[in-house]
Amino acid sequence: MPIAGVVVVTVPERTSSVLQELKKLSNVTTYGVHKENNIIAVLESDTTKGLEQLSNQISQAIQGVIGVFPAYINFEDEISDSGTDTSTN
Amino acid sequence: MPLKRREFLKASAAAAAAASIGVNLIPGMENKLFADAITWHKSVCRFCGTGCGVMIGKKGDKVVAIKGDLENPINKGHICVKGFFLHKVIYARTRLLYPMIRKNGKFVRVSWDEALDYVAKRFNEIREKYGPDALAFYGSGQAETEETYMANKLFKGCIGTNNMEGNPRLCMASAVGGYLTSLGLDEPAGTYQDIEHAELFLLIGSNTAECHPIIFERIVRHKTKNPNVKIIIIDPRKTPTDQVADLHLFPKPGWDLAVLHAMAYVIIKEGYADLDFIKKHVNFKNNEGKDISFEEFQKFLEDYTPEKAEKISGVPASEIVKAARMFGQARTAMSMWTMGINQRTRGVWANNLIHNLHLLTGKIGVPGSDPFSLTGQPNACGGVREGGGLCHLLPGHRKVTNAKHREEVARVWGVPVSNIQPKPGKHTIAMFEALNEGKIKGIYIMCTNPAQSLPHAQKFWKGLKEQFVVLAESFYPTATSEYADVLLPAAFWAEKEGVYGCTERRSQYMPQVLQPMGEARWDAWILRDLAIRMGFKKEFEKYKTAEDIWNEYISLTKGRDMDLSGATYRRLKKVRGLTWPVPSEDHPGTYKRYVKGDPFFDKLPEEKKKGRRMYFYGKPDGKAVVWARPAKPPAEPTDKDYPFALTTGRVLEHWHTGTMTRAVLELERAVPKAYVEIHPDDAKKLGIANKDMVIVETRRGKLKIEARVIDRPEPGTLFIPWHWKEWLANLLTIDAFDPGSKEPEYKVAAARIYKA
Repeated sequence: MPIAGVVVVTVPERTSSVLQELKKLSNVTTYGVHKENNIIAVLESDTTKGLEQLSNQISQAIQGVIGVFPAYINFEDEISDSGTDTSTN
Repeated sequence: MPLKRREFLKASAAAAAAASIGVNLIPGMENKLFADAITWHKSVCRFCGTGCGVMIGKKGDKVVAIKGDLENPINKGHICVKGFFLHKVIYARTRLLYPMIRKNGKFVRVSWDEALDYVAKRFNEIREKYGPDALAFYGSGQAETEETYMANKLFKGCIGTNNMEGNPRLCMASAVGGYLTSLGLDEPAGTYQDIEHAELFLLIGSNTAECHPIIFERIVRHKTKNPNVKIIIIDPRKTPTDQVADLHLFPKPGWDLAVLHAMAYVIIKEGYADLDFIKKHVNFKNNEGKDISFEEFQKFLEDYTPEKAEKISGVPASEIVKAARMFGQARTAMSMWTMGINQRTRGVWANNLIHNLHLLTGKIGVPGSDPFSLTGQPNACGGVREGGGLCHLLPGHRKVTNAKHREEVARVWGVPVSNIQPKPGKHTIAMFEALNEGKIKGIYIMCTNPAQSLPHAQKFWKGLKEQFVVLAESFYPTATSEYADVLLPAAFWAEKEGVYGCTERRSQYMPQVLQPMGEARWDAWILRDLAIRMGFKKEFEKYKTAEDIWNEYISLTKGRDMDLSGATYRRLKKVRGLTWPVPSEDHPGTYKRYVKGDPFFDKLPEEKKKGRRMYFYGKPDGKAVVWARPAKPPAEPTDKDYPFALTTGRVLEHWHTGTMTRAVLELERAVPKAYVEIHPDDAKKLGIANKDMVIVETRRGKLKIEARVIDRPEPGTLFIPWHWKEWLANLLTIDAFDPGSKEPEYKVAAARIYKA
């Protein structure tokens, strides 16, 4: 299961409300507000796509989010599960 | 995954994210992360031209993690969401793994020896029968500098043709033309360091939030800390960048030159011009290149008062005045632009007019002030602009038309100077037209997809079908592979070492972390081995390592304006890139050009620098040029038959022709097809509902596509993302190009739209 550590950058006056919205999401763990308007969060999903959808959901559906910026992405299960297809189509 | 392990990974991920903003969240956790079985390798992102540092995490023989490089000054530990998929691209099921030759209409797997012998034989036959100019090379701003260098030597130095181009012609050539004609030398004077010193950002023809997210993040971070910082956007379409804009001007597509002139008019009229800077650092020229006075320039601008510009551009005069005042009143200003300005028949002029604003106000050459062109591809600046990968260039910002330059390059290449032709070869559009006409009979295409990416693409399929096409690619199939005679599997990012040079003049080293998939090989070695088979053994057998190629290349940059001779592999492997000029191994790199601290400025005679803070040493008298360019319209303005202006661009999930991102199943499913954006007012008038199938038609072709009714484009404007070969936006675009830069006008075509 891929995991991403991200910084959610917010409009300063909306940081608290963004944090509350993030806490409602079951596959997001927050690690507090830092340096005024940055929320540290960990996103989890079954697939890389899920991570991306979650990231889009946060940036588009929660008012006051300026951007979601990953700093660390681990997908080792996904790699070891999928293997490599060596066909040439 | 056991819970304990997962909790550890979560804590590590949080610690890494916190560290990227300088917060020590869980003391020691970052170190534990590094102590895991993962080994980390410093590299550079494969996607846009920002140049973000990434760390590639490898476990066993697999890449299992990616993180932003905390030590990299560009992104300081952050990456954008494309990072989620970097590993997926490496392991895509569409990787091309074996050489193939088309036999009886079908691709057949062959050995490397058979493939290269065949290509060498066919190329030599063409060269002997029709001459060197019957051959051509078409490369990429995604290739490494070492790869483009090898192609340059083979085609210009050995085969003897200047028919060598690359896709940066389609995205940045107008920016090059702008820098050369306005400031005297290519590439920006400043760097990203200016962002944190700027009081005003002018974003024009750039969807920075989606196309350069890390640069956008730096701008937003700076604005958050400094509420006095303002952002002006000039763009015919609303994008996510708008969420932080203070002012957005919406010109009709292709009509924005008048807006820039009107801003200059207001700046001068209201006293925001820096007359002392102008006197010491600026010449004025008319469109024919003749000197004019400042007064004559002001007279020229009277044709572009805000009221007159409103009539031309559709932007209200009051908003133009507001933008001009914001630019004039800001202590420092940074302009950023990309394809919306460059992909135009007057792209060079549009670039000139942006430079004009900075030169008139003296907002250049000081921290926080710079006209700064953004780059679309990761090594368009390094490999193609600096490496000389276009038909008129030679390595080290040299020109084929300059006899001294040819001699210098021929000496290092070990070829007779007569091999290098003194005339430019065919630029991209002319090259593919020559394929159509049968004047070019063989082409080597590397790391790019012209059958999809050329404007008015279908016009050029004839030549690709009829002539001998060799395609070196990491992925298969592509739109271009449909026309290829030979496919050569190329090693992908992380499977090869080399250097990328990004937007801010920074060259960065990338290591080889993985063995290439299947039988894929490094492009530079494919070219070397082909050259040897073509008879150029003496010239090519000496290259044994990537460093051999880089060392030879940087020796050619010694003393040039983009001097990289101090940027050796030994050094680049340790540091997070160096911004040229970097003339010696103990030189730290250069933040600002043309000012104190730039080694070329510093060594100028004192009498030249006297009383001046800048010296544009690419110009004979050290003065930059403010150009009086007429505000010409696009090549194909709208009319009663084609009343909409069609513009094209990217979506967040995909990149270029989708060769990489469409190979990732999840991204393909996320945005599986193209669509046309139309404003709700226009849709209502035409009876088009959201998700209706519509026909978009231009004078070149028509496309059946789904409508997306949304207020992103202004009324009268349509937008189609161009990533899909099945909904090929380039069936509609126009192949008219800028007469100076030869860059086509992807951004404006007259169109009509109706329900299917």
